Order: sequence, then C-alpha cells, then structure tokens
Amino acid sequence: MYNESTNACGTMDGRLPGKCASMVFPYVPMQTNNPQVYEQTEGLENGTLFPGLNLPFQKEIKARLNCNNAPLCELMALDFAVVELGLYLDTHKEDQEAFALYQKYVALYHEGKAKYEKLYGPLTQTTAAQSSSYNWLENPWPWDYVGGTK
Amino acid sequence: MFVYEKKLQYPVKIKNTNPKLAALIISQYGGPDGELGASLRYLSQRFSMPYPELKGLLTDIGTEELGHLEMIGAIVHQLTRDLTDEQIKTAGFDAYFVDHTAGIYPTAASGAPWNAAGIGVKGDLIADLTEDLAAEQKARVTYDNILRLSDDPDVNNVIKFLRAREIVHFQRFGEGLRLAKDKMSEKNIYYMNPSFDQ
Repeated sequence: MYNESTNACGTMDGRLPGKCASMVFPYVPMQTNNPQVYEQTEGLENGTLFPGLNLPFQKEIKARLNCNNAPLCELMALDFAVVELGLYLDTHKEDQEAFALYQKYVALYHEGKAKYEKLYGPLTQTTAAQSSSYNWLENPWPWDYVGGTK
Repeated sequence: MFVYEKKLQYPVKIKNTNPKLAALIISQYGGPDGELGASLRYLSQRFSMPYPELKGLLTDIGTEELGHLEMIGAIVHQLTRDLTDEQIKTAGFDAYFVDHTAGIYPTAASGAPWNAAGIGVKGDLIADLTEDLAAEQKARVTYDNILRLSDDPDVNNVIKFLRAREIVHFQRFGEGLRLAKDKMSEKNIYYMNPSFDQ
C-alpha cells in the first residue's frame, strides 16, 4: 500500500513505476482493454495482431509474408486473428469489444474455410464426407513444397 | 481431444536446400527450448491448474505450440529436400544423416535427443507459470540466434513469426499470473498451493 505523506510503500510492498505492489512476485502489466489491432493479414505478417506487442529483432526487418497461395493465406490470416484474440480473451474475458471482434473473425473464418474447402479440398478430415469420394489424402500436405509456385 | 487442420499456421515455402541450416533449426523441434517441449510443458501443466483462465490459457497456448512444431518440421523437411551426395558429406549434416537420413527427429542441434528433463511440471501455479515465462524467453533467444545464423529470407520469415509468438505468449503468461494472484491470499501468496491445497 502506498502512503502519500511518507512517499513510501508498506512493509510487504515494493515499488513499481507509479505505485506499490507485493514483493517476491513478477509483474507483467495487463494489456489494457480494447487494444489497438492490425487488420488480419498484417497481423499474420507480424506474428501478432497487436501493435503494442510487436517488438521485432534487429537482424530481420525486411522479411515479409511469403505467400503464393492467396486464398490459403487469407484463411491463415483469419485463423491467426481467431487464435490471437482467443489467447487475449483467456486473460481478458470481460472485454466486450474484443469479444465482438472475436465473434466477427470466427464467423469470417468458418465462412472462408467452407469456401476454401469447396475449391481446394478438405482442411479437416470430416469435410471429406461432403465430397463424392474420399479426398482427405490428396496432396499437397501442409509441409509439402517442391519449389516454384506449387 | 484434438482435431487436425490440414494447413500450417503460417506459410512455409523454402526454395533453397540448406542442410547445414536444417541441422541447426532442428533444435526448435526437439531441443531444450523447442516447440515439442513447449507444447508438452503447457498441455501437462494445465491438469493441476486451479482456475479456469489458466486451464484455458495453457490449453490454447499448448495447442498453438503443436502447430509451431509442425512448422519447424516443415522448415527442416524443405531445407533437406533433394540432397546431393556432396551435400550429405560436406554440409555439416552428416552426423544427423547417419542416424535419421532426411527424417524429422526430435533432437537438439547439439545432438542430445529430446528429453523431458528440459521441461518442468511442478504442480504449483506460481512455479509453473514462472517457468513458462522463462521458457518463452529462452525460445525467443533461440529464434534470435537462428536469425543471426541464417541468411535465407524464406526461413527467416517463418522464424520471425515464431519469435513474435514467444513475446505474445510471455505477455499472456504474465497476465495469467496476475489474474491468479488476485484470487490468492492477499497477505501471503505463498501461504498455500491453490493447485493442491483445498
């Protein structure tokens, strides 16, 4: 507890910037509610949806998203926004704006996934049931890349 | 349970074979601060977590780490595509090759196979979440080091992404610790272990 008159923290407390807090406990500040976000493709490119958590390394400033399959990358970007907002909501379940954004991205992801699967084949095994034959096994698998545009 | 999605979290498209780099990056598959250890650490720790926020956070980050494991496997696989006899002998990949050919095996770059000794599950939320903060930093440093060692932009794009995830996860684990603290004894957070004592 901070005492205004003595400008000191209590016996059990130590000083944090601007206030006091319990000693022997590590402090990471809570991200504030409704934080600024990138749009989803920029988020995927940066590895975070939040500009406030984007802290790149000096060695690699030029690297850019390497995408030669636009529909898949769009879907990855939507899925990334869903994952990132999901983690945020795990520690900020009361943030209604973020939850609304999460709802929006989940809806877009489901819509995008269904469209993608119609054109390019199943992303989840059970989607193969909607096809006229069992097409789950078809190449490419996600780690397959032989160079060029494939 | 888990359901597989037939896509990577982030695209991995590596044009040029580079077995020497593959022999370094394999460390993030099966090394002490790699994605396999990260995933098993979080997915195992969650069973003794007393609060729903922490059960969720460890489940969700542990699951994302499985996706990162797949990305690292894809990088190593593509870096060792179509190896020539000359590359096998001279590119710093021979020691790995003799044991695993071009298969993907969870091992550290220094040669030690994946080992659970590199992860911790203490059954105490302060100890476990504090370990997780350190684990994210150690993985972040490994990615920094890979960026220092690699000149291939196709690889560095992906490594840069994975590095950014470590920073986000660190933030979330820190927040998880804060949320937990609010539910613990205000006077002495070490008074009991809420993961064990009722």
